[in-house]
Amino acid sequence: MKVIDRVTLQYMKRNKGRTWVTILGAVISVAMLSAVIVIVCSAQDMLLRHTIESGGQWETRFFGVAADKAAGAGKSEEVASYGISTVGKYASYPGGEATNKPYLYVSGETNFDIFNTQIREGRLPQTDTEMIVSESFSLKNPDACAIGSRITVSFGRRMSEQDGEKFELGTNYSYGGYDETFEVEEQKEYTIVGIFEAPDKEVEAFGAYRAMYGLDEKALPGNGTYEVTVDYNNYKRLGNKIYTISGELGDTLGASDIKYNTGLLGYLGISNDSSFMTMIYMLAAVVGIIILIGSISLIYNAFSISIAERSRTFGMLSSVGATRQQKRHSVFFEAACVGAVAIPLGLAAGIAGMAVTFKIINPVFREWMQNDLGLEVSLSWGGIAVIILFSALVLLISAWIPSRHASRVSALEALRQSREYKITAKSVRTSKLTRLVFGFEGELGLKNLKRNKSHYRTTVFSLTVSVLLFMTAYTFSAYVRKSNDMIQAPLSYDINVSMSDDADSMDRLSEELMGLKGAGSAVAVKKLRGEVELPADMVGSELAAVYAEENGKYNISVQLLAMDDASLRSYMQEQGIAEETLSGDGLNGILINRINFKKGHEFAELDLLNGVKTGDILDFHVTDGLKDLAEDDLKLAAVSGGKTPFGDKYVTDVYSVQVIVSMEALDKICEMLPEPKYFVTENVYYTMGENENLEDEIRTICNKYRDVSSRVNSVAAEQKEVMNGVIIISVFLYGFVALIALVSMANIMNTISTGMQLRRREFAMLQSVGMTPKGFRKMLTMEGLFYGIKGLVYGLPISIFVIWGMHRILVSNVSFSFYVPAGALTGAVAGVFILVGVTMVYGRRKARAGSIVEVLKDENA
Amino acid sequence: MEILRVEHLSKIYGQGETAVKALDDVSFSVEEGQFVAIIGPSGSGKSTLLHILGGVDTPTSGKVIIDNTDITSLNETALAIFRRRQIGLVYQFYNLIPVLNVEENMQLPLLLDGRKVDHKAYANIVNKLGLEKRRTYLPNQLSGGQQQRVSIGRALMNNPAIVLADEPTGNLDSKNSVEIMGLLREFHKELHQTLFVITHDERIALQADRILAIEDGKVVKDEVIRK
Ligand SMILES: Nc1ncnc2c1ncn2[C@@H]1O[C@H](COP(=O)(O)OP(=O)(O)O)[C@@H](O)[C@H]1O
Ligand SMILES: [Mg+2]
Repeated sequence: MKVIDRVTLQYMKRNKGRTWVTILGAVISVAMLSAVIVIVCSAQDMLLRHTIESGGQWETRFFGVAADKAAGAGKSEEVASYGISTVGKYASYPGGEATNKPYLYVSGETNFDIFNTQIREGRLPQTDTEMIVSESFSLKNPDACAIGSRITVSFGRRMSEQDGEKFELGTNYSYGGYDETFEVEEQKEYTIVGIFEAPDKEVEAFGAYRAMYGLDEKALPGNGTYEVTVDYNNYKRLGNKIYTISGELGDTLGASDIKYNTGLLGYLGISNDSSFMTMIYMLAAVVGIIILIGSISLIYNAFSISIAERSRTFGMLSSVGATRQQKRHSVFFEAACVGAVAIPLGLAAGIAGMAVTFKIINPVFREWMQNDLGLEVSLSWGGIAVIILFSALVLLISAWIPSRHASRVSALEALRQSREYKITAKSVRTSKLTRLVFGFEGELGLKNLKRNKSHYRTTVFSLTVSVLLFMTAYTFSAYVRKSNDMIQAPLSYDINVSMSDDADSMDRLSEELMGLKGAGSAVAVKKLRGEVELPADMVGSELAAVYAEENGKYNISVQLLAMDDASLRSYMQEQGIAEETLSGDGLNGILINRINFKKGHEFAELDLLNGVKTGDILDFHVTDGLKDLAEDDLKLAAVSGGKTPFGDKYVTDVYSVQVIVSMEALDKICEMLPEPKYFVTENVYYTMGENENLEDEIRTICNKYRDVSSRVNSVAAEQKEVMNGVIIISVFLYGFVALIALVSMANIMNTISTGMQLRRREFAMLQSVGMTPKGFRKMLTMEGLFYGIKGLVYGLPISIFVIWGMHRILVSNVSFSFYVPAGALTGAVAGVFILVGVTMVYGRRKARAGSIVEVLKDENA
Repeated sequence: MEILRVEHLSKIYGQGETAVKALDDVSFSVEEGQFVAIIGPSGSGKSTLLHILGGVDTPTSGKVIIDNTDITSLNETALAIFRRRQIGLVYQFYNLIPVLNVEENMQLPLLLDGRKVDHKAYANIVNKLGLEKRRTYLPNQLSGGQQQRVSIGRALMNNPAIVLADEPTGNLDSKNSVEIMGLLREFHKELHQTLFVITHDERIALQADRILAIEDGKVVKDEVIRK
């Protein structure tokens, strides 16, 4: 080892505390970098697993392969496994005509594993007369799908006609969008042997459920072509070679077309059309840059401190003939030593940290992603290389400028106590006021801050960055929570089932739903949307703003609402409206005119229509845009206000008027409407009661009604979903902030305590001329106080500005006005002073270690 | 009048086998206004003695009575206050505060005490030290001799009863040495302070009223050469 390296190593050993703080800072930096890379790799890995789970592990699919060549895939050395499929065909099934999925999409398969086909019931088919059907099919057609039962299907083609010309509807034509007929070609009978789930297979063809039968590789029917799906050996390592290998294999098989599993390859980075991964990469890059800046500032600072401390040594070395290169080299050597310890430790810490983090958040994460894959720590060799490369780069950059300084230290400067040669009278000037207010010790403290610009800047910068990150993170999660609350705030129900499509079934479904036991309350509402024409002077300003005026008139959208009897009765009682109000002949309605309106951040009572009174008659009609479908005179039996029994507590948008009518009256108009009755919808609103499984029971009932499109919205479930998201984001956000804060803390500790150490001699001298312990404490407290104040003076305004920007971007202005959470403010202020306080106490301990005399005698102090 | 009395003073560094007896049962007393030179070979315990007299170090046993106060019994704060009022210390290395200018460095004990500066006395000292034109300079703008003058000024500013100087000229050339000793003696006469100077220089020792010779932590010679 060169002598200069030995001197450096000696120095590092002697200043153990400082060396460890430097290493700790570097470890945290490397750990954070590792964490970011691990997150990227693990997200990639999770998506990959997700892709494999839903579609199976295969990379390439060959089309148009002849029967005698298909098995050739098995002869290739590159292929790990393969499957042969027949070309899928549509087939109609008994009882399918009335539904929106009237077909089965059927194919024969030799290898079900390659698509990750999961058998839920029964077994896989072994012959071409045995069939498995998808779980979604069996749920909707439980009778036809009993294991062992026989099903006869009719293969054929979906045909449509345009301009007198017939054409076939392929798998990507939706059902119901075209006038289509099914031309049957052949009937076949199968035995159902199993029920499967294979998400990707199930969405291959529109208008159809998925079914597969067995295929024997050795006895492929010679007519027709096949599709061959392959999974290569070690597919993760192949990279772009996958394209050449596939091309060659395609030639061997005589394939007419090749398709790649873009989802799978995308997450491997082989093909790049995954927008999700792009987003993750972007995010990682942003976070990575913040980490790099923080790390460089810390480590740079550590090295320049080390140079300052060693300036005497450098001077001495140059006086005995060390060259500039040698002195520079010494700094890089120190960086290399730090790196040798910090990089492996940081890498391990980062991986371990993420393993623990994933373990903790996975339960929440699974629920959030609605799959059971979860995050698993995954780190590729490439990832490790990136971490090591960047860490080394950080150390190199950090050592660069200090090394130049070191090379310039001359013998003369060292002998003249070089580290103080830069102080000028001007740079340490303080005002007279300082001494008056803070006393002489306070003044001395302030002068001490000013003497070393770079220490001062580093400390204030670190404090500012910590304040900024903490406050932004805190506010971010506060804002997300608050927006969520705001969205949910106006809702007065817990579960909402909305229904459309077949009117008769809807009535039955809604009746069955109303019969559910254990809800807190339930309201069934039937809705019909139509419109009325009103003169301009009757239309309130909020409504008028939404519609276009035509010849002094407006066509205002009106929603007729009819509730179940019990709800209607209690509503009318509540509103003080006589029970018989709606019972007269014709269409009698209660107009809900005065509403609670929230505009921006203000609430206001608002009339939708001006000058309406009981007894007015409005001309109500339902129109399809061209012609009226139904029409009736709507008599206002009452004009009321407030909310409907299920409606939002307040509204933020006005676009229609609601009128409550009796169920009979509504049904009468509905009868006038032609089928299908698009304008009629039904809803059932629940509040939660003692039945905790209410939502599941609702879903079970809804699944039974195949001809009704129903949607179940659970406020609680939605809220939980958002909260899960918030929790996950918070964990990463706070983890990240905590680590950056730790880096800042290491930086501040390093700077302040080094400053103290450099001044040990001075402290001893001050004590020897009679500075009392109290005075000493006062001086250091003042220093700390000034640091803290400076950090806040910069940190608070910058944070508030950033938070303001975040509010502008993230939070739509209507939901809530800009504010800074009190917790963010108090947390930042308390945090800064605790941090500085702890550092000062630590520094004071160090400074006072050893008696006055010893320090004064110590040449190197 | 007796200003200082030392009784059975011992100082032991370390413990057991490696223990070093830096001072071994030292007793003497000093009259107010006396100029005492302390001589002895390197490592004999001179600095240790001076530091204990100045209240910056504590003895292992024995007493130091200054102006009827036993300073070995004072607590840290009381000792600090005692130091800034009664003691002036001059070191071989000047130990100035780099962020304070010449004037502030000299007035440091008064500033710490929160006392008013006696401007006449200050002007007198600055003039005698030849630092009038350097009053606003920072230490790093001064030569070694000038820095030592500032530290002497600092030791004298609070008009202490006792001035202790540990090899004050050890770091200076002969011209500066002569000047610095001249200044110390001049102030000693003018301000009637008691002055201790540790020195290796025979010529300096011979200027004193009394010479204490120390060897292996013991006073081996105590000679009053001038009354
Ligand atoms: N902190 C210490 N620890 C151990 N021994 C010490 C310490 N300080 C001084 N000594 C020893 O005490 C003796 C006296 O030292 P000192 O008073 O500095 O001598 P002088 O000033 O006469 O050269 C020496 O032998 C020295 O090694
Ligand atoms: Mg000595």
